[in-house]
Amino acid sequence: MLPHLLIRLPAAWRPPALLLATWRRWRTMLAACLVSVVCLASVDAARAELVMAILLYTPPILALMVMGGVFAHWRRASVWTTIAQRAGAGLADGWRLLALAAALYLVLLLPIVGLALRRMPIPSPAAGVLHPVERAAVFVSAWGIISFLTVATVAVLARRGVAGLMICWMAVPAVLAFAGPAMGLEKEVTESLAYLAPPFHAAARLHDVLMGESADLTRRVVTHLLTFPILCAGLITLGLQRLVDAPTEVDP
Amino acid sequence: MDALVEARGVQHAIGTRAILTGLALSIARGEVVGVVGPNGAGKSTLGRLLLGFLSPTSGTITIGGTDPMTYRRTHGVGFLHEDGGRGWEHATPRALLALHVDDLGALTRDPICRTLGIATHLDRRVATLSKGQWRACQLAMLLLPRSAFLLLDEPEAGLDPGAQGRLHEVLAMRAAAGAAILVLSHHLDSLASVTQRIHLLVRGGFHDQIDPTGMSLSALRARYIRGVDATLAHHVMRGRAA
Repeated sequence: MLPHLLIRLPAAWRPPALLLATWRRWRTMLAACLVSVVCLASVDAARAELVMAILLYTPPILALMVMGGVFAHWRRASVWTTIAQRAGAGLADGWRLLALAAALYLVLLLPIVGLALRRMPIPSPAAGVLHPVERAAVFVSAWGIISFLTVATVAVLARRGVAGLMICWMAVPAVLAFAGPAMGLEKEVTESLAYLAPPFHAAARLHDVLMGESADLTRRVVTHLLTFPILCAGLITLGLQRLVDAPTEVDP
Repeated sequence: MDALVEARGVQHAIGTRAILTGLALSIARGEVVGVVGPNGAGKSTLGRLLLGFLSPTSGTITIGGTDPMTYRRTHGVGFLHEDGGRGWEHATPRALLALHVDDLGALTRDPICRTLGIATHLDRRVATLSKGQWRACQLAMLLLPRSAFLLLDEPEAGLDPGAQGRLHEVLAMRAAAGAAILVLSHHLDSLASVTQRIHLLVRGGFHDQIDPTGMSLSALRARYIRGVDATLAHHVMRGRAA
């Protein structure tokens, strides 16, 4: 069946579609999704912190499974060399694969997030404050995008140790917060360096910014949330270019 | 003749270790050229350079008047290398062929597929194919796009004598259609039956060029051994003198 579906796709979309179709970690990924759903279904609706924990950990874990797995699959010598011999093979194949992986990630994440938000306790919202479920939805959307971009960047740049590198990168703001003063770094320098790390704090404060609270933070939060995707896009382009130009694992 | 592939003074080094030392190679359209040499001679590196996966430290390589990477991206290159289908275990050969051809229905009527005899295993998963069956499917993927430059690394590995004969037949078909073909191999007998000339690659340099036409296999082997021994002895002497 697959070849007949593939042949209906434009030629440029066949390699990424075939890569996803032949990727072998589907069962692990679906099992992880199922575990999330079962956990959410069994958690007492009053345990908001548990629901939030699931909402916090599911996006990076899913992104790791999808992006780490798909790019590890692509790096295999026989896989890349099969694709590389086509006329037109290059950077665009990498971006198309990234787009399909993003779609898959979204499809898997949305039902889990939807279920989690339904399980959230709904206290009466205070006047002038964002509804708790809406606050969670805003945070999880930003967090989901940040997780995907972080993992995608690490997955195309690093050949192995994707999870470890991702965690190290995400820990940069905390490290700077503790190590910066100890190393005698000025506050401005520490804040500038924080722009190189995933905007975890910016995502956490986004709902306040949207409600017009924390006006002093608005500029920094918005700037960080906008510059991070640009930083990731640049790094992903470099990683993909390196992958398609000189795939180190290709052995003719 | 009209040379499609031209390499001049190609040197490649990894750190201070020289892998290729001043290679010159020219392959015309319609020509099948072989490169033979002992393990570690630099055959795989030469293949990577010609595919644009590596850049030479010095010297130039052009394919169709442009650099190998640009040529591969704009025209496509047929490329066969030794692997066990790792990564494609869950794909079928027909799905993989969909990357390269638009009319899957016509596959079984294609003369290349018919000669390679792959029609019966097009819809089996790669993991269930024998090494020879997978190799035949790889050859179909390489040959069906009708690329003008083909590079084959050990193409006869895993093929039975009948399949090797069919391989030579399809390579001759592609050469007759104007493709420039480079075969990297350890198998002198196979190279002798399919190539018009064979370069002997030892320690990163071409040390002999053999026209296998009319040569017996034993004469070919003797010349290969003489060439390898002379080159290695020369390197040993140079090493002692240094």
